[in-house]
Amino acid sequence: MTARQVIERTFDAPIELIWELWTTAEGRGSWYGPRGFSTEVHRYELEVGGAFDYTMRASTPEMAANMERMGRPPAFTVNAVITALEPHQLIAWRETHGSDSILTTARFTQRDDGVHLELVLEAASEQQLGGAAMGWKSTLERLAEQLAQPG
Amino acid sequence: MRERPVGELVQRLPIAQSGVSRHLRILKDAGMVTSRADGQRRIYALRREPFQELSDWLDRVRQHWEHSLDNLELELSRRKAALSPSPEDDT
Repeated sequence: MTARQVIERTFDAPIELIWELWTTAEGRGSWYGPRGFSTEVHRYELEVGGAFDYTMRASTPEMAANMERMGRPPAFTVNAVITALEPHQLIAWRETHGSDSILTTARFTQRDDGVHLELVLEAASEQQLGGAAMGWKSTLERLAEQLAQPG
Repeated sequence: MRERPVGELVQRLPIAQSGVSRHLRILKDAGMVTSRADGQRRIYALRREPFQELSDWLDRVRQHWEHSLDNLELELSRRKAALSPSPEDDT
């Protein structure tokens, strides 16, 4: 089982420009990342199975200090894999953070008021489900195994 | 979290007692439920923590994206403006 979140936005811009900002290393690096971080995209291979590697770096001394307080390095690198691609319509990639895996799908649809984005986040997370707890997925897989046994 | 004895769960589910006990044992091994003995009965309850952690994590991911999409809107306006120069620049 996965946890799922949907985020939606409508952009008043042509899809060609939006697509460029999503799918080029320079474009993506210009906006992507949490508050207080800057993002550098190292590799962006626009094909299914292609690599999408980026580093997020604390961009202010305050954020770097925050990270240090939490025992985290001021920068972290994510190695993702592109799992689906349809130009001007859809891009999906899978990221792995330790034992967590997140599938993100961005779907673009032209509407009267602009380009609508539907962003779907799906997590199959073991660590986030708590300590030694197994993830939902593996829990249910084990359930299925157990139920398949006689007795 | 509300506690329930195994017998009550069996009544609510289309599964035999042995099946329910097996499900519960696995959920307990996975840290999703707790159990305690009450005389001959065994009482189960959901653990709040795994669900809370999942919900907190989803909130963080959502914040990250809302902030990124605000940035994207700014960047789009900047680039749209650059693509269509104002008449004064057209000299």
